[in-house]
Amino acid sequence: MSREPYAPSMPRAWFLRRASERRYMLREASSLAVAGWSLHLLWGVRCLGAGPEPFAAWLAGHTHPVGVALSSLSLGLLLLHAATWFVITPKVLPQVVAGRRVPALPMVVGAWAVTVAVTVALAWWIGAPDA
Amino acid sequence: MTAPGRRLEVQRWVPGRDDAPRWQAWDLPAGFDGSLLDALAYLKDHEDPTLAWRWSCRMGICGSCGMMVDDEPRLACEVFVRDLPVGTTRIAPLTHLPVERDLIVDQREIMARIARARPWLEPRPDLPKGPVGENLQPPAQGLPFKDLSHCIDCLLCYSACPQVGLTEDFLGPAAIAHALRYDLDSRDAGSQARNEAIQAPEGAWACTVVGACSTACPKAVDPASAIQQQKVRGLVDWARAMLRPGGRGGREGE
Repeated sequence: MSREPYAPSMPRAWFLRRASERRYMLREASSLAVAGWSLHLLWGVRCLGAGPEPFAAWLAGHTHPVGVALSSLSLGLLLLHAATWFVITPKVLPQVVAGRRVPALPMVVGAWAVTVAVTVALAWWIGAPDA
Repeated sequence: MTAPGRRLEVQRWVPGRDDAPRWQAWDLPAGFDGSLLDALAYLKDHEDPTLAWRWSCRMGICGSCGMMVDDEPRLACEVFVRDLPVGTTRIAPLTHLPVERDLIVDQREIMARIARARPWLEPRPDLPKGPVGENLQPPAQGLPFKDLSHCIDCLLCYSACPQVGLTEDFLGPAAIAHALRYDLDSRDAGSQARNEAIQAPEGAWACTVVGACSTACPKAVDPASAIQQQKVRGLVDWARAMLRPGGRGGREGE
């Protein structure tokens, strides 16, 4: 009997099939928010260099409803990006070190602790709480 | 009280008989208890003797009965009919692999990829051998790769991984996990030879950490972690090669 294997093709919208794949694509898409916010900050630096008025206009943009919406969306996606990144972090490291299993949870908690500490330190240094 | 019956919708494909894969549904008797593998055997005995699938051990060891159960790659012997949702469950052959007939896939091409990772011990010549030439190892030195050695080549990870379907010739989760299993072995000197395939663009670096391989793995091998560890090993090798004057790079057997 002759063989005639059937070769299935990958559907174009494969990432919509399973919830895990939809979450994966959202995680990947959140990197666009990180890039977008970085460009926005660079734009702010450029405005600062251009003088007090352009910088004031750049700052004022943040209080506009659209600006607030975009900032909130970016913050949400940035937090999602960080959370998913920290979940992956333990996977990069060997699972057994010096004959002992390395638990993942302390690494994830530690990453968040460092993030919070650095954020608070930066906010304190910049003087954001006083503003 | 008997459990309500389940309906199985099975993807059929018989070369020469079917023009394209089609779905065929059967109802299991109410109260049917057993694994999905038992259910398929029941259907073959009572409904259609031409239904074909691959199986052997019935206990999650041989890795033969992988198939898609409602779009998730599972071992049919580890899926119980009582745990299926009441209603219809779709059974299909493992994705990303050519379908030979019904639920049987052609594994040869993927097996060849696994072989490219050189998943065998290349013994260090400097270590003393056992009485009949064994490569001896204290148990503690076996711990770093113990989980990785549990892989049964069921290929569920290949079906779970979208990159296997998207990136042609991606070495794949099990192959890269196998390589790390031997790379971490204190008796092994084959890392450098393995790296040719592992550190290639279609090796570990084609992985985008979807993580589906580790979710699908019935043996908790965590291939997603193995692949990321291989990336780190590759980076360390690269950095070492950059720092070494006149060095060509690549990991020495150590």
